[in-house]
Formats: sequence, C-alpha cells, structure tokens
Amino acid sequence: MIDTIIRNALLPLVSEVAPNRYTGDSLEYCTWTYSEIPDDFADDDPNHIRYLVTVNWCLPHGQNPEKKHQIANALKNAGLTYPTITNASDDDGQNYAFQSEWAGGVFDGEA
Amino acid sequence: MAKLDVAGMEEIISGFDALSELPDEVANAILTEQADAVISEIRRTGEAMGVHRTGQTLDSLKATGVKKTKNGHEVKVEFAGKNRAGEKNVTVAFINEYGKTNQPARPFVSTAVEAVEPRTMEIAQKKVEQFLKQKGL
Repeated sequence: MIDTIIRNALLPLVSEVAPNRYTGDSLEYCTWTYSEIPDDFADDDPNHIRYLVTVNWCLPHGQNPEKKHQIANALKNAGLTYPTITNASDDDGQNYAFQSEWAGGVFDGEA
Repeated sequence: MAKLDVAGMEEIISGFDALSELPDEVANAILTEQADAVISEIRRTGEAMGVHRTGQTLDSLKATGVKKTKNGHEVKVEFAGKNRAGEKNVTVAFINEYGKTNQPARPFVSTAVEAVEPRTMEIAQKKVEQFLKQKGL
C-alpha cells in the first residue's frame, strides 16, 4: 500500500518513478526507500507500523527545481507528513531527498 | 464556601524543584549513556542497511564530551575525521544517508535516531528516578 501511495503521489509530477533503485535511462526520476518501525505494542505484537520514507528526486544540473515544493505537497496530500527536504546535489546532478513518515496497520506494507 | 484541597502538591513541587537543580554529574551520566545508545543503534542500522565496505564510516562514530550550554547540557554524536582515502567520514555518511545519482539513499542515521528514541527516554527516566529517590522523593 505505501508503495502505491508514493507512486500515485509522484507520477503526476515526475513521469519516471521506481522503488529502491531506478534503472531506466531518464535523467529526471524519483526513487524511494523506507524503513518500517513497529509501534503500539500489545501482547508483544505491533498494532501499527511507522514507515520512515525517503524519496529522492534526481534531475540534471541546469534544470529548474521548481517542482520541489509541489513534490513535498503531493506527499503531504497523499497522507505522509510534510517532508524534510535536503539538498544532496553533487557533481553528478541535482538530488533532493524528501524525508517523511507514514503510519499504517500491520499488514499494510506490500510489494 | 467550597474548598479544594489537593493532597501531595508539596511533594510534587519539591520534586520539580529538585529536578531544576539536577546536578551536573546526573546530567552527564544521562547524556553519556544516551549517546552510547544512539551510537550503537546507528552502527547496527548502518550494518543492516549495508553501509559497510571497509567499516571506516561506522567506526568513526564518536560522542563529544558533555558540555554545559546556556540551555543546560549537550553532547554531540558525530562522524569524526577522515577515511584512508582522505575523504571526510561525515561526507561519506551524508552520501549514504541521502543517496546520489545512481546510488539509492540508505537513511541509516534518521532511521536509527527514530528507533532509539524510546530507549533514550528510558535512560533519562531511570536516572532521574534514581536521583529523586536519593533525595527521598
């Protein structure tokens, strides 16, 4: 479910998106990863999972990063917390890391 | 005329007064143990996420000594120094955390900090309780 939520939030803004690693040819793409932290324990079982999500938006130098806050708002509107945005650009290109959180039921993680 | 009496208020007020005078050695002990817990968790999470080729980045994790500030006390956990290739360990950690073109992010620090937060609260609570017990509160 979380993968679908993130994909659907990003696709209207960035046409190439993939979880974990992008292997396509586009110079502009989004990829994401997340960690799962169990929470709200009862009888040693978690009732919720907190997803700590990092979305990376990569694009070439020289391209205007005007969509940065649109991406942040898209994630927020999809139900994630408004992300911390870190500029992790380097010589290879622009890279904006959006770190956000989402909470779901125990069986909400999916492929 | 109605009167409201709350039993135990004096003890509570004494407790807060005692907390506001938390001695340096108690604050130091709390922060040192919390820093150790944070370092352990960052190392564990880093290993789990594959932030380990030579081990230099995770081995560079250090806690500074506890310093007094105008707001109380602080300790910093940092990636210190440079690796054998001459790169700053904090730079290598940054790239792992946030990723780069053709290298996915491995947010080992932010994940570790989130995961260890309850443990750090327990550390502080336990040490404050010990201190208050010693004060007879």
